[in-house]
Amino acid sequence: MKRALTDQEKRTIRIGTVLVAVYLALFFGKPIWKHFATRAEAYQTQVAQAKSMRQVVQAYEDKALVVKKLMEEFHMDPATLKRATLVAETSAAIQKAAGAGGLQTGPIRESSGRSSAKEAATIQFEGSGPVPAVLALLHNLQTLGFPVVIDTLQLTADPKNPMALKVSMTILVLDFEAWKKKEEAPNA
Amino acid sequence: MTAPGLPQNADIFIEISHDTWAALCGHESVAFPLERSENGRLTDLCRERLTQRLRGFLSRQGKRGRLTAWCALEARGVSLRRLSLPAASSKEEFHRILHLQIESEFPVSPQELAWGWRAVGASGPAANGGAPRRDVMVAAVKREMLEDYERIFSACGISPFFTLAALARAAFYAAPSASRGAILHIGRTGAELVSFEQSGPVAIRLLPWGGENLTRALQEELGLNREEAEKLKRGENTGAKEWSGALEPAVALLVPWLKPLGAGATISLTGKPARDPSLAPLLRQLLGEGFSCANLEVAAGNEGTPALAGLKKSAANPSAFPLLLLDAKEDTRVVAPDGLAAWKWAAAAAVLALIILCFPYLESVLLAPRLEKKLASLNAEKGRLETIDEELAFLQNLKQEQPPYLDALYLLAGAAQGTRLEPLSMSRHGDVSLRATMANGQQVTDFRSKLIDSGWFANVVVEEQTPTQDRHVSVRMTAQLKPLAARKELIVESSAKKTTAEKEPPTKSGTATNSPAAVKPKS
Repeated sequence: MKRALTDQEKRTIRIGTVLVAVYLALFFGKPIWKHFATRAEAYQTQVAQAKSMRQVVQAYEDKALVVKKLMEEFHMDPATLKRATLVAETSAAIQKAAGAGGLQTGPIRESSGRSSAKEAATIQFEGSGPVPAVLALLHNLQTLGFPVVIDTLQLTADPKNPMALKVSMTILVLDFEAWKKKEEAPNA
Repeated sequence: MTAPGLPQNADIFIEISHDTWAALCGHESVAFPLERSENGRLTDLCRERLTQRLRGFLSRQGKRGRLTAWCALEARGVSLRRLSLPAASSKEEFHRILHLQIESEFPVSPQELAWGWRAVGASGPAANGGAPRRDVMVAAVKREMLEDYERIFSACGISPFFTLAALARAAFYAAPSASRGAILHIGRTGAELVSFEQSGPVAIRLLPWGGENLTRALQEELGLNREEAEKLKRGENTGAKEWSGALEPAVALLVPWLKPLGAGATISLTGKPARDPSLAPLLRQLLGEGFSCANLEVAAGNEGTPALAGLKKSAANPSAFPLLLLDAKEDTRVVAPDGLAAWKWAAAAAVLALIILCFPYLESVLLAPRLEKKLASLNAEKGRLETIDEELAFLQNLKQEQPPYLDALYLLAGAAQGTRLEPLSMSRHGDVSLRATMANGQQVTDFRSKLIDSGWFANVVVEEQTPTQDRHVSVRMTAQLKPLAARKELIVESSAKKTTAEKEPPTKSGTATNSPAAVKPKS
């Protein structure tokens, strides 16, 4: 049968417990505390890093809005453009836009663009048709969904049809890949 | 669960009334008169004298060292309540409930009271069929009332344990368990009436009736002076004539208080006035059939008073005659849980302080994984930021590179009214060259002025102006489109408005647009 502890014994046990706790705190507390302090310091560094990164990201929110607006304006997402088929698709789209407006397509010549000017190709387009069709083509080229810039435009009267115009354009197809920053090749 | 009782061993028994301090030690009893000030507290002189006398009494009895005293208090200033409490699962819970109940029932907080309790009857279900309840009787007295006595006891090396004299008398009387009745203790100016039921004492009342009433009755009825009346009352004037008839008007005053006890009740009389042998028969006679009255005062014998005798009897057999302990010390029964709660609060505060101290470190341990995930997602977004930069630069360049061919055509068409333009060429860099046939030289000048006034063209040069055979003028011109920032705002008129423009002054309809419907150069 267990004997009940007296108050004196209970007090002794309490004091002993406190002393043991103090001993443990003195001899093992410091390294543990140091370990956690190091972790806390690293954590604070990470917090500061995260804050600065967040500020950078927030600054890009405005840029993203401008990009979105321009993409809507041009009906184009540069990231989806494929360099291999860019010129072919652009040429087809120009001819389609011209035909849809009632413009009779003439000779079309394609040549390689100047890489220094970040051009993928140059398209020489000729056609004839009524004035509204010519103007509509000029307008629609901007919303074609391809990065095209009319380099030169020449309008002349069509001798065969007094109500029509002959149009000759030099169209530049820009190369988005050339705008991307090149990864630096590692030193051999 | 039992109520705390008085300690097993008692060295001295004491009864304290308003005007007398009676002590019983062994077989010797002694009584000291008390002097009180207006507030009911003992005077300093009385306290000193009492201390000395008590020391002397104990010395005579050969009592040394730390002694234990059972003290019976008169009912004056004591509140007695019968409470019905819900049955508790543990002792601590029961005390907590009891403490709360006392707090609500008594006008003074339990900490300011010396109070005790004892069970009354057995626990049983509630009347409405709810949880079982338990009836207890609680007696309480203001702690400050006991301070004077405690100082005297402390000076004499005595540990006092307080109870009620009325209950001690009841222990002395030891009424049968099935009996019902009361003990009427008659003092000089007042009386204590303790009523009993089968379950034990249930109520204590103080009556404004005492020995003084009897003395006055004897004086008035028999024409005696006060001293003679007192002697007669105490039974010292045995040669006097029959006086019980003279007491009748005074004793009759007791009847309304005792009648409610009901027929079958036994009324026991104690106190000095009760020593009058004619009092008990007279009272029984006045109460009528069914009541019985007995004199307990005489039965106390050498033990001083029935209360002292009851204390001694209870000390000899505490389980048979349990008394109610008025705990005058700090209320440990309740303080214990409070103390425990205080420790809990202190521990909680310490833990909270530790958490606050360790919070920066805990934060680094607990939130580091989350922060790392967040950093990883931000790093992933960093790659996307470069793409945004590239797309923005590309699209902005595309927008800037778009030459305003439609706007330029609109302006040229507007300026060349009645003119035949052929051919017209423009370049992305803003070079414009055209050949036109105009009516005369003035029209050439007007055309050039209009181009310059439009704010869009610079360096408008007529390179060649040649008269033709049909009296017209053939013109070859070049111009340069101004940069975007230097151009004027373009005002475009819709075709519908243009038809009414002859009647109405021109109005601004909007800014530059490339709408083909709005731009119609004349061919």
